[in-house]
Amino acid sequence: MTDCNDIRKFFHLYYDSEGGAELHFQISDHLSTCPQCKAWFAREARTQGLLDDLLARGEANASTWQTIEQQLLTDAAVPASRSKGLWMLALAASVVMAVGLWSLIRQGDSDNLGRLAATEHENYVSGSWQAEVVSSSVEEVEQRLRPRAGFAVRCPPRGQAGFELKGGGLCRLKRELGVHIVGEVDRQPVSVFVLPFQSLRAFPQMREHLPAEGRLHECREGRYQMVAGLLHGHVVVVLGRAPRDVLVEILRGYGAHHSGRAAPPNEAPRQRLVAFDSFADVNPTRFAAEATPGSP
Amino acid sequence: MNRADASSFVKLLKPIEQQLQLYAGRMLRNPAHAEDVLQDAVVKAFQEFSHFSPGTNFKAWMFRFVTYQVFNANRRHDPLLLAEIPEEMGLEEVREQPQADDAVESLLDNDPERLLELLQDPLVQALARLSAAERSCLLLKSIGEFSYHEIHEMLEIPVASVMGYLSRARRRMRTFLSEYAMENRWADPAETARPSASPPPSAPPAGEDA
Repeated sequence: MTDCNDIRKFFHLYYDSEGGAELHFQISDHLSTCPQCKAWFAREARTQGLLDDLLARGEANASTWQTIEQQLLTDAAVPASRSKGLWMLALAASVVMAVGLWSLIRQGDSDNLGRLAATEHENYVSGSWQAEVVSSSVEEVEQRLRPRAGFAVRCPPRGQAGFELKGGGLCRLKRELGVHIVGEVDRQPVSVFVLPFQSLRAFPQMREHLPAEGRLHECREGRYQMVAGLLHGHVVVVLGRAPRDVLVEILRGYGAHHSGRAAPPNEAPRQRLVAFDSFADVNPTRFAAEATPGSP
Repeated sequence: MNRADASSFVKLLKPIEQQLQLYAGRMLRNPAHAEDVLQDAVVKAFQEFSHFSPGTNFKAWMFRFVTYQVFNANRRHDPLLLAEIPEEMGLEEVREQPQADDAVESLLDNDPERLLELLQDPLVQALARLSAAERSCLLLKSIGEFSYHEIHEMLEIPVASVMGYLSRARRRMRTFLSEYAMENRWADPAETARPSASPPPSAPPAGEDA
């Protein structure tokens, strides 16, 4: 291969260090004896190098990667504690029922948001789950959890139905990332779980209950009373051993301080619990507007 | 996956974050989606991290996730503009000689930094005119610095196709940038001294993958 045109056809292979040693030896030999091709190769390599430099120019966005890495570390940490809880649950279940029956029940439970919330609440009460942000400041808890959760976290206002905020952290309910806010009412632990509306897809039972019953869904989960509703575009679940009316009031007060004032305990609810005609018609901005009719 | 796995994963990720971000941004039809795409790709890769063999090419492994996430994002946002990837391409594509581009050459001789600055805008437009396959091969080569064989494995297309797409992408990029340079008379130092260049000679053809 001594013809200049033949040699030049293989410029890209030569430039990219591809095509094998034999090809490179042949091209190098030719270039050492042909000044025209040598100049041509140099010019092509320079122009191609410019293009490569241009394409590879740019800075990494540090905040993007911080968010991604933080998410990874959180995801890795949360399932670990959950898997421990499931292991304990499996161990207990194996004592009282056959493996097959247990599997069936567990399958049903895995879709039950109330049941999963109750388990998480148990973890909090037993100390196996601890709030990452320990604070009685609504603003601090919200501000510190918001960037980690990836959505606007809101707390029940201080003193709503006697709710004393203790803190909060991230949690996983059937792989859905949510926020677990904890507090006490009359020294009884109360948990508030907040998940993005889209996470309802993972919980068909709750998805069925909330739109069907409209303003509120309530039930008992073992020893606990649970109330749930859709507020500010989020699924909010309040759970504890406090009386049902107290939990409802906490639920209604969720995020109320964002409308400009705290809610006195006996005031009529300012947060309207909205119903949805269709799960597919999701418009979070609509929720926010409807949920705060008292705001300007 | 536990926290130690996540730490190992992040440690491997760190050195290639800039390349991944640049690659995703240049590959996407809408670069505003780059952050979401990166996040999805990284989460998926981490879920599969237990299948990654330590000591093998983490960068290629990671780029593969980003590539397919970009394809998904582009498909979601504009399914009609998907480029078809032919099974084979002839070596004729590879053997075509690049066109001479005197205006770019002239500026490259006189003021290479200014040239890089001038080329930023037309570069995005030139990339938008490439097919998905051409753009993938070009960016995997230029940003990822992968070999033809690695690109072949990532995209699951024959090595000859990689060579063909790459060659054609380079030629089309250079042709576009040359035309742009001539249109804006970059060979004339007085013209390139202006703060910004005028729009490209023509808009991308309708229906082409962008």
